[in-house]
Amino acid sequence: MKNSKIKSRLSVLGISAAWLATIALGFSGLASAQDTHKFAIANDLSGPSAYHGKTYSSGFSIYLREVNDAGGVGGKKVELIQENAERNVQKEVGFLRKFALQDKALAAIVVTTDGLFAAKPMGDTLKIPLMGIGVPELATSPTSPWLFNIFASYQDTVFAAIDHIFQTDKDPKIGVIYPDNQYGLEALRAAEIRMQKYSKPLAGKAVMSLRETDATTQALALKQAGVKYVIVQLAGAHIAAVLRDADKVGLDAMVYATTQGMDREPDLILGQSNGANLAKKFIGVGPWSKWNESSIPGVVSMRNAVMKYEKVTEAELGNIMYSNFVQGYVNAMVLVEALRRAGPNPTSEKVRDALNQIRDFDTKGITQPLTFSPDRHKGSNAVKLYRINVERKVYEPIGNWVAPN
Amino acid sequence: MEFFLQLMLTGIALGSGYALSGLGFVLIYKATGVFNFSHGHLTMAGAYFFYMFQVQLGLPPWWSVPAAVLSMFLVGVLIERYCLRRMVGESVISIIMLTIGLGTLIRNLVGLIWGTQPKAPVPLFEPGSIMVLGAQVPRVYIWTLIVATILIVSFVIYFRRSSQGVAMRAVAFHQDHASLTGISIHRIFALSWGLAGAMATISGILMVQLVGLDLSLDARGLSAFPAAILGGIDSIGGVILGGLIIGVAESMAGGYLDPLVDGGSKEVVGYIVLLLILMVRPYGLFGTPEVRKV
Repeated sequence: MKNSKIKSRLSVLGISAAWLATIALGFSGLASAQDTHKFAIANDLSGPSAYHGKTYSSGFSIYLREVNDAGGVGGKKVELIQENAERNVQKEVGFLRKFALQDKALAAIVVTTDGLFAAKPMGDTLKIPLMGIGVPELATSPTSPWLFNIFASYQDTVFAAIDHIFQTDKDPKIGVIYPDNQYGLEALRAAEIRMQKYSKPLAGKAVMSLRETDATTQALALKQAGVKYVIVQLAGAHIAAVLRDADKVGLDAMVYATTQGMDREPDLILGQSNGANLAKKFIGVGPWSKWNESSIPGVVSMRNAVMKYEKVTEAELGNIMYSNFVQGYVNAMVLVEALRRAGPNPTSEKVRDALNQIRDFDTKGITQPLTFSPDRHKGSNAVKLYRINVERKVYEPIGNWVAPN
Repeated sequence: MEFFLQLMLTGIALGSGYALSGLGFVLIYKATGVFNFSHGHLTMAGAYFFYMFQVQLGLPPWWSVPAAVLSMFLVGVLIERYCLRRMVGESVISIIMLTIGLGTLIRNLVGLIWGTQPKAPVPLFEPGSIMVLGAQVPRVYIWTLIVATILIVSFVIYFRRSSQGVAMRAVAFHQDHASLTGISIHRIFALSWGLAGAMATISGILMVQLVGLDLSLDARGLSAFPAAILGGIDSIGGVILGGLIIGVAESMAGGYLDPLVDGGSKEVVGYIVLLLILMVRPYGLFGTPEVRKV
């Protein structure tokens, strides 16, 4: 009898302790939410293409460290919450809900283009500004109240590529290699639209999955179609495969890589047995500057920040500052600017409204000045074209910014 | 016609890589009765070992090959010794689950050690192409076919004529009887796994010359599985033919079907061919029908 009473009291004590601990944890979370401003990303931290998301968040985080070291925004530090969505669209959408409703994040980022489109209808429910590592034109055209493209879109890169081709060839045979998803179809659609401007048809198209590493059949198909210029809407590893396999099968064509085609240094291209010759067939088109463009003040600032916080030498910067790093850094610049303009006690709606007020935002040359408005949720349409410098093993710009209309 | 020929030659080059990888798969099955679902991952790991010796440790390219092969031979022996030997007497499903788990472990270890980004090993073969029957054939295809053929023939001769090969065949035929003649079953199992690791590595190195090096090489290596089933899981000649059929089917699908269905047919056509052939010949093209007396 006595033992059972003791056991009963101990049980009550145990349950009470657990209850109190849960409340304390909840309050501590709440306290932490009040102490910092939060941005969030449904990232890809563990898949074969995880380096896109990881380098993006590295760039984003480096800028936040600079901001926090300078005192934060409104006396509060700014943090980036990351969840691993593994490029799974359902997980990305699920995490967006968490970011908006639970974490009270002020803006959110997803990795995949498909995820961005899946989240588009949820804008008015979640009420959180959304942007992606992918920059599809259709995300902001027509303007969606909550979706933003910080940079020029994939469509702009395709337009610029085709315009560049027509500068020297009035009757070019242009083909497109693309994956069969929203990301790939954006490039195909853009190419068809731009070719209409010149009253010429696309000469060929071929699908290449993101998982493929062999472009032989695609190269053969385009060779059969007589293609002389190939626009490739894929990542750097695929660009190297296309160049390699085009050379193997005798497809004599210039390869234009869109934004993500320069997601890494050109080592995969130059590492081929005739890499130097393959590099001559490459032109990249992208909406932000490269880490090695040290004549640009914004790039210099970024490099200094990386050397300071990552404690690396200048020679090691290329191993850290991949293309998506620069993208993340600039994205953070824009969001922090919006946060500053949102005033005290910012909410996601105030941040969205502040984004809409940004005009000619100076990224110190990393991009063209960025402008947003309620009717314009794409910061810029300006891009640069790049060639490969074989000796320095980096991408170098061909000329200045171009803004296809 | 040139298009067809180039697709055919591409398929044969790829298929020879699958055949080589499939031999390792069949070797383990014949000797130990184990379906090794980690074979594709061994192929990938072998390719990464090659990259490590060649690029990270700076060995000359043609020294990196035997170094990688020897390393993966040892890995195969260690897998048999410390993983499979403990599973003797366990159910088939348990052993299969073990190999699946092993494959996952290998993949994640490779990602952890070498990262998830594609790598750029130095090519072994010179660039360029030659004309064959009016089609432009890359030299790398020719060399891949030659190397694979030499290795396959060497393996067949070894398996049929050498004392270890005869012992492996004896163990595959009847373990108890083989044991009674003084053959060490454990040693044969270890040798089988070691040889399978070595052949997976050579297959991986050849595939790297064709498609580059990244973590998706395990899926290519796993094409050994349909090649082996197609040819007959216990037939060496069958797996060679099976590999070539899978390679050619993939290539043809990529060239003719992908434009019609907007891509993706290459990944599944091998399994469709496998299904169709199994419907007609359930034990594969040259597999031995299993007869049980009741």
